Amino acid sequence: MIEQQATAGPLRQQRFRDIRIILRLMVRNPLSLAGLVIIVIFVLVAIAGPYLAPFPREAEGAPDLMHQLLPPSFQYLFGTDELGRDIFSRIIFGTRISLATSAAVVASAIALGMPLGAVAGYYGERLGAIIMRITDMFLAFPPLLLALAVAATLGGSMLNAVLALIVTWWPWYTRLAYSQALATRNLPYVEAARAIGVGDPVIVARHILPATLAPILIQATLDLGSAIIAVASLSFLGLGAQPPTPDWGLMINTGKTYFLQHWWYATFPGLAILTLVVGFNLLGDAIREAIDPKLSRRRLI
Amino acid sequence: MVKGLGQYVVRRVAHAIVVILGVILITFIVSHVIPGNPAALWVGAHPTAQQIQAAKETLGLDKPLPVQFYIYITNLLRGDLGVSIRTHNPVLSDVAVGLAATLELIIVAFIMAVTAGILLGVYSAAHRDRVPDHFGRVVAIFGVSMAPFWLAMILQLVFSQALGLFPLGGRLTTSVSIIYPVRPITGFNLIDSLIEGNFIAFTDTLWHIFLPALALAAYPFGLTVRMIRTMMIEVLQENYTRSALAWGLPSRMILFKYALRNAVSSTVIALGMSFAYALTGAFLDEIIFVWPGLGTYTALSILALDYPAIMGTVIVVAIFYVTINLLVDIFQAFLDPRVTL
Repeated sequence: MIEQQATAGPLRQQRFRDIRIILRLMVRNPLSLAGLVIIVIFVLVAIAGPYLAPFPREAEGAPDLMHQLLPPSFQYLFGTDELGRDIFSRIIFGTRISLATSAAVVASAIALGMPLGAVAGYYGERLGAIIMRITDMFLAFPPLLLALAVAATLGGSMLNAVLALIVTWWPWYTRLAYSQALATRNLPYVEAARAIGVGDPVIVARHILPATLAPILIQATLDLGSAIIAVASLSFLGLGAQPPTPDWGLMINTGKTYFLQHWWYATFPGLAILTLVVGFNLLGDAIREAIDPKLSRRRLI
Repeated sequence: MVKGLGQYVVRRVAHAIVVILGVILITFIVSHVIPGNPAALWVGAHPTAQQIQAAKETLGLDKPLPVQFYIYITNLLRGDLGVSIRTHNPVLSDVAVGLAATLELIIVAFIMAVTAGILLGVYSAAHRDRVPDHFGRVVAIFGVSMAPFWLAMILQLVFSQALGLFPLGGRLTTSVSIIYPVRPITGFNLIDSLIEGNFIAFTDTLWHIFLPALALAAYPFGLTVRMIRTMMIEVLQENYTRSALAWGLPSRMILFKYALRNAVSSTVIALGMSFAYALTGAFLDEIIFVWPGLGTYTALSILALDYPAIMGTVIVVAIFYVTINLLVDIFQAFLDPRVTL
């Protein structure tokens, strides 16, 4: 308890101050605000999807063969697909899928990678070396390639695509947590905790893991954007969502047969991906710039 | 210093070998251990019971795992990746042909990305926090946020289908490939046609490669702009920049002659990072433009459930990628002695 009072108080204050500085810098930067607005809009669309979509049944896959491949109009804002389904409604339903799958990939990768990295960094020595060598082996694959192999083996489905991406994604967080843990393990408050006899597992859970959290959350913001593209890429290869799921990547995949004659088919799902990923990148970039002291000095030229 | 470099190279090569063994182990686990039915996948669509049994025996799936791994790794060392179900060629030769075409595409894309990226990055940094900078940053962010296959489709739609400026896909016009065929020497069409003085095939390949390379260039372009901008901003705050300004050197000279030189090394790192992305990005890009590289090969393999071809491509590309990383690291150590410390 003594150790907690001595360290947790100032540490928490410090963390709050950091967050305030980041928030202030972000508000000053119009681009990051734009990113935040984009993300909030997409989240709202994901939540309210069924109430917003003009044709919810078509979004879930019900065909309407009277209205095949119609160009955008007031009735069908983004046109219709080869089964006559409203693309606008399907994109709205797809928002939920995209956000949920990418969040699942990133969250699971963190849940798996962060503790491993913290343990490797704190214990160092042999255990740490083993964990990090294994991590290196996974990092040796170009990211989407290993996911492709795993997804191809498991068979194409959304769940398998997510699993495949988790398999390729966790080592990045292990490495990040590892370097953070290395930097923290000999700080005075950790040594103090050790000196008064706090056990190693408790130190890792109470002091090392929280210290790795901030950089990992920033990385996660940026990664959500990449995860959306990765999920879409697997669906595009036919290894992700299967019809009639209103998944953006799958829509582009089916759209590729038709889009040279019917430009709207693949264009709008792709624009949805682009906008959402731009949102995450704008936000992540601004946070990164806000916390990088090297970039905060004045300019000469 | 040379001694340090030698030791570093030895250490780095040893590390790469361990990593390659790991890569082999992981692909083995993926193809032999995780559930899913590798034997059925190996046979292809609509297998019969006898075929599956035969596949199990060829793959050695009835033997204990360590024995399976031994067979797997010895086959691999002999360059035996199995036979493609779809093309009936040895997977290794299929992959070698595809790899050259894919690399050609990536290299052209990188040349485009780096040239444009450096210019815009310097421009952005020189006008930091003003309108041109915001423009540069937004362009860069759009570059890294684009799904490569979607950008490929949009380019194809606009520049090939609507404007008719570029071909819809392929690597050579059919008539050109018949009248002025390119003999494969290096596997790179652009180089092979130049060696033989076949300028018609050369320009025709350039004409075909432009759009797919452009689609692939978006990501490394965005990354280069960001890296160059960040590094330039740092360098422009250094004392030597201040001195150069005080001496009255023109700002263009400061930017391009002094500052840019110091930003280049980090750009090399950025490009190394985006190479992995470009490899898989090219996979998706090629499908749209029917570029006869590894991506088109893999996509057709996935459609045909051609499992040996998929796993063969994955392992060759992964080993190739580890090797490239090794070379980049050694090259960097050669340029910057601090790396070997």
